[in-house]
Amino acid sequence: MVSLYEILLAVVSVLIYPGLIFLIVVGLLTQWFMRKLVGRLQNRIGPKYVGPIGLAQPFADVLKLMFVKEELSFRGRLDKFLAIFMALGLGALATAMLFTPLSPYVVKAPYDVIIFIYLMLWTTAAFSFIGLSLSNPFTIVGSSRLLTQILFAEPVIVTSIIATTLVLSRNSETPLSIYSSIINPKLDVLGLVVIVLSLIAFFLAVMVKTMIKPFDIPEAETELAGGLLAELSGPTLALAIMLHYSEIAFLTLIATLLFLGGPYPLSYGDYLGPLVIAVKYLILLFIITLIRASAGRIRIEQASSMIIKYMLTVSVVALIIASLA
Amino acid sequence: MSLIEVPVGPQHPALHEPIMLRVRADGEKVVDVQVVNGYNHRGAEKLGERNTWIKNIFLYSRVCGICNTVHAQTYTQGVEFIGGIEVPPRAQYLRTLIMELERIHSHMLICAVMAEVVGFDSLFMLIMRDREPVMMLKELVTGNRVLSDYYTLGGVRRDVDEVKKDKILKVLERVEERVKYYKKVFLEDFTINKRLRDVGIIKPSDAVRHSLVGPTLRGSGVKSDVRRDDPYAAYGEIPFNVITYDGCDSLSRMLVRLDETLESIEMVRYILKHLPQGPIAPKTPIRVIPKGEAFSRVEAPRGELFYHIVSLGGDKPYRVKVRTPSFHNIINGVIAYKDANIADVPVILTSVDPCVSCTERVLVIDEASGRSKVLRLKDLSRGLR
Repeated sequence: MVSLYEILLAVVSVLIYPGLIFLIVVGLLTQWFMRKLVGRLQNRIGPKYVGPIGLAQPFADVLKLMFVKEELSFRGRLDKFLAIFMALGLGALATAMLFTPLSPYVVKAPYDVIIFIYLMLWTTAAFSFIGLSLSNPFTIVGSSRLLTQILFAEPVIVTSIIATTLVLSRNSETPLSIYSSIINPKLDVLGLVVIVLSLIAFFLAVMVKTMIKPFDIPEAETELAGGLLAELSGPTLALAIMLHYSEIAFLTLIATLLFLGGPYPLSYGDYLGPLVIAVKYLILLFIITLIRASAGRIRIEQASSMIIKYMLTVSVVALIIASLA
Repeated sequence: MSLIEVPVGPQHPALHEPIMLRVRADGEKVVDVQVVNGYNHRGAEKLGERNTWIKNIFLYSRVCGICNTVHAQTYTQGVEFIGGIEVPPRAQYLRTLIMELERIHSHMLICAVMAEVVGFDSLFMLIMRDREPVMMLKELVTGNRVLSDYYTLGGVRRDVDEVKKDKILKVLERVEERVKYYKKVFLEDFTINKRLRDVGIIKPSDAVRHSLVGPTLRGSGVKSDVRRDDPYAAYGEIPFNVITYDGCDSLSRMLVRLDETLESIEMVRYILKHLPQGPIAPKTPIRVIPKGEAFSRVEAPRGELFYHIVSLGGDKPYRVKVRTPSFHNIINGVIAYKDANIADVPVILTSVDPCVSCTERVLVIDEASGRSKVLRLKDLSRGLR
């Protein structure tokens, strides 16, 4: 029998912390961090006016798109489906956060990594659907590029997560479970090798999946005028921005918790734990931003051969080692 | 096989001026590209027939914003030829100085734009930052940052003194160091090489057959430069190398520009060192030009710029015909898009350094019958169809 308290806890977890609101806030702060850092690297000032050192700028941008800017619609545009798919993507991410130890309401089961990966795929589905629901040539080319990119990058993410959980939750009561591999990792030397390899593959694949330079090929502003996002406006664009940055925040957070050991060397009970997690998170984000600022955009076929060479091979090797260990 | 048509333009983030490239693509592969222009026609040639000779210097400077002094040079040198006007050597050197400063900032600009087109914003920001001191030098010499309005018939309008000379040399030292660094970036950077190398190949024979000019031609290994072939201003007295690269691709065209920038810096140094003494302009302005006709050509940053000037005597020209380098490079450059990817289209367009406002003409040619007609203002106001 499920008690009222548990239901309430689950709802709060999904909607507020560490679910929807938390993800959106962290995502928009992530956007601020990336914009500010890229600005400084490019000899610019970056966000400055709204809030202290421009911290509230991304929030102001999203609120403006939501409440001030109008939604432009035209014949052949599937407005409702667009919004529904993006909301589903955001919801799926928020639900996936319940698998991590950050959540007060814990979801864990043997082999739950499959459900976790399924939930992660929804954002990609949402972005691909943008291309299918609009008839603009830029969007169509952009979404075909996204699908090509995802076709190669998603297996990398899946294999590296499975390899890591395989190693970390070995001998546990709940094998292949995200929660037990994060909270109670069993690590040996071979496991460390697997984790390092998976981290490299996962980290690069995150850049592909979230369309960060040099992999911003589906957006490609100077080729496709924004590609996927070319026809979005007003609230739908706000939703797309929130989804995009929540995805970046979510995947970086997963990398921090799963591959970098969360609050290690402290533990989850420790009150300084969140600080350690935040520092690790910012280091990862810093590296992503550094790559983003020091690279141009490559072509789609160059990207796919790069993914196969440097990411898919590495993650498959990690999986093989993990299954042998 | 279903083709999709991706319109690059008339308004597009990769373009800084309105032009339309109708790209028909099979997936990511480009099948053909059609250039549509005519969005920015200003009727400068017609207007020139109503203006006086002196007013026209300022009008033709405004044909192109970036390379305005070369337009003024081409026009004035043609008019000076008809009028038999002698230009003092100091003025010739100063004209050369300002044209080379313009080449430096124009080439730096297109390198920055290329970086932006391949998505390398950081490089774009940095090159634009380092280009700014050169604009400041132009302001120091002519009084204006962009549109210099430096020319007059028979000379130039401002002189350079020792203080300005020192300042120019000092600033150029820093610029030279940065341009050398950017050359290294273009040669070694991972993404730039991935995007520019072997993209938009133009074979030397094709480049000559399709009358491509300037760095686009020299990037295909053809040694052609008006400054060397037909020296004007003080170019006959200044030593310099004509830069060519044999790659025939977009990267070679950019490297030609970067090397030319370094060459121009050396030329500016030489000019300042060997600046002759004397007057810079005739004492009284020349207003009336006798009957005559002149062809005039100049190596603009984008290639050979050509003016045909006809005078029937008096204070106004009868006809001034302008043929800009971009006219050839943009329209005939279409040969480079064959078998490219959609992603390569803006790269190839940028690699010929398009200057759209120079290119606009209103001569409609019916492809089927081969007949041409000139449009009236009334047709223009209704829009080109």
